[in-house]
Amino acid sequence: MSQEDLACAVGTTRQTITSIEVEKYTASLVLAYKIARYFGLSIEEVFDFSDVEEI
Amino acid sequence: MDKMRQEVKEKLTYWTRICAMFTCLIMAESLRHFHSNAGADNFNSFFDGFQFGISLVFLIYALKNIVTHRNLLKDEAQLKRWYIQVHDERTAAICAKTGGIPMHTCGVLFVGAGIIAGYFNITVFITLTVCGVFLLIVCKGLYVYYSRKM
Repeated sequence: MSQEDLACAVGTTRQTITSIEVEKYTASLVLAYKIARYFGLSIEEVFDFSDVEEI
Repeated sequence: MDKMRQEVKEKLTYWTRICAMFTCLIMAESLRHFHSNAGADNFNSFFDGFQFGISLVFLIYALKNIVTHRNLLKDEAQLKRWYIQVHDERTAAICAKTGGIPMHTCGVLFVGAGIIAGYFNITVFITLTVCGVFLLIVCKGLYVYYSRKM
């Protein structure tokens, strides 16, 4: 599956998917949900939250 | 798909109005040119030509957008691609970060105001046009910078 296919399926551009992959851009909650749903996984399984600081 | 079509129709109406406005402006400019430009000095002649050119550029840009939006209504795949491009959240985030919409609007308004002011005062015309063009260049520059950064 290409970035273009994923982008088209979740209603965003290929550039946005690229930026998310290289961690230049943080996806919104809605987009994260759409990507997770596309893969049939939960958001935590798709995105890495290990470096999020606890307050 | 209806929502997308509706949005394209709204844009089409907007660009048609812009097109009509600049057509009127060019016609007014042409009439003024034929009536009063005989014997005008070089500077006035230059600014008349400049105003006419800028109006023509806006008119051509509006016409291009009308043709593009008309074509979008005929092709569903192209319409979907356009909708995704327009509603892309990263592009919106870049625009928000650079103040893209206010700066772009101000730039276009400055140039528009410059064209109108040019009928009365050449100094105001130059100032407004230069400010408008500068704003548009800064706006584009910031967009390119943040596109690479984000």
